Amino acid sequence: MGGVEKLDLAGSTRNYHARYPEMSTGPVPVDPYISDAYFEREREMIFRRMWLLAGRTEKVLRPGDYYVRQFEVLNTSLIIVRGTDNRVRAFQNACRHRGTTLATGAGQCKYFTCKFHGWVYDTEGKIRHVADEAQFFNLDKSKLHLQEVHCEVWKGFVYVNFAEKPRETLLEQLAETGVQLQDFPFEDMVVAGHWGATLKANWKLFIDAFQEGYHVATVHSGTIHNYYTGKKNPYCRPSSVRLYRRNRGLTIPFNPDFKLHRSEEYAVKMGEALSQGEAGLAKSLPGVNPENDDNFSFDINGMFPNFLLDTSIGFFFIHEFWPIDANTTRWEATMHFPLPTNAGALIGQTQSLSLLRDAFREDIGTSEGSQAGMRSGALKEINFSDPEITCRHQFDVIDRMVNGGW
Amino acid sequence: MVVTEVATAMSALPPEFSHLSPFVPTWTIATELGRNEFRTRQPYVKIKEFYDALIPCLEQITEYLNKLSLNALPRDAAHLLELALMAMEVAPAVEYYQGSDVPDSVAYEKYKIFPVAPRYHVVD
Repeated sequence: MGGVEKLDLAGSTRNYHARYPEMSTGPVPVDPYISDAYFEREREMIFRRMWLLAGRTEKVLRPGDYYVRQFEVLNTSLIIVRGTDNRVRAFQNACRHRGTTLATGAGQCKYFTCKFHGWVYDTEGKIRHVADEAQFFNLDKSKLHLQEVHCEVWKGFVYVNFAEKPRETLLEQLAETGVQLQDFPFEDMVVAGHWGATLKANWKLFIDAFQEGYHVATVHSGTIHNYYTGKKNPYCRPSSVRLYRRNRGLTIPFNPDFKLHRSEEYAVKMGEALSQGEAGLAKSLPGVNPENDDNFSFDINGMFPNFLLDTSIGFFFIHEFWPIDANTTRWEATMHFPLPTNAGALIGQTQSLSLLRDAFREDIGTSEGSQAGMRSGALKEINFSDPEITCRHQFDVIDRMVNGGW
Repeated sequence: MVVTEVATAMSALPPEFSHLSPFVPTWTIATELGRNEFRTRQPYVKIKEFYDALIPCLEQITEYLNKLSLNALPRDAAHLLELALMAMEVAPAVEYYQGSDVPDSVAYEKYKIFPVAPRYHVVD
């Protein structure tokens, strides 16, 4: 490509606000990270309106495959199921008789039968049987199908929308990021690692811990900091940042002076790996490294509202942040690799899984402390640096939306 | 006699890897959660000893296992694979933080490792 301006990642130049001069630079108030009232507005103005990630189609490959997803923020759970007509749908997980939870976990079935009184629904949500039906009064079964929630699939990502009528299509919501990633081979990769934690931390603060590189030198001092930091980029600044209407993206470069360890050399030889250095660049994949970084490691794609989609050459990983209340969040992360076709690929992938999992343990170690500091009332404002512009962008977008913007 | 046979079966590896058989009874674990729990319970010297024994054999292990289908591994080959997977489990401990568990990170009890679909299958 060429022509892309290479940023100075070690000097005192503030690169990112220079690209987005309309972004503010002052302190940000603490209240939105701890306030119950603010959280109530996020629930109504964001989570009840936006398309929300509800899993991957790899869990519902065959008609009758289903799984249940919790949406604590909306106090509900959904059954995601592939019907006999091969369509993936989402239904409220509540029997139309007296509201009882119909399904848990995941599985494969022809019918959902309520464990309370045996009402039966098919995989397309239609009510099929009411036990001792004649004892009900004027029961109109045509109005007692499972309640369907809007559900769309993009590149194997199942999304749902709880609004009666979504304000925009899923593709409109994915916007620039959806276009950028439209040819990335998401559907060729499966979950290889899955980790999680529920912590006393606000969801926005929790996301922030994963959408800047400034923490890498300190938080990851036990693991992978040297893979990302070095003379040319001591604070792991992104090599580029993209801010959109709601989504955002940043590119994290690797340190070209890093010497691979023995297990990493092995993993690179066997296939794609988290710390693959230059070996990955020879392969490339559509949709990654949008600004042609010579030291590209991975992109962090902030998929509004609560999902980070981190794409690299040969794998991707996802962070989901599910608010439970203003001060509690369920985080789940999954690492996706192509299904290994031989033992070498499996062993190599396992190297990345162990390292990434250990690094995530460091990542999530700070969030409860940040929340505690904010909740203590000790400070009314926090400060974001220029390379933390992605955190500021998230704050701005959410603040616009809770105040009625769209 | 029976006891000896059971012990042999439990530690069985393809003959060319018999020098690794002392590790088989305790270091072959099929799941990531199991491997991680095991690792974090081991003193670091044991981890280092295991890493040092396995890493030089990885190429040879791969050459042996890549001739087999992951969907139908004989028990002795599965043991070998699980030793290699454990080597990857302990790799960050040895190569990065020289300890049994990640320093300065969230409490172990708070961090969940969920199961994923098995990626190899054993035939007995």
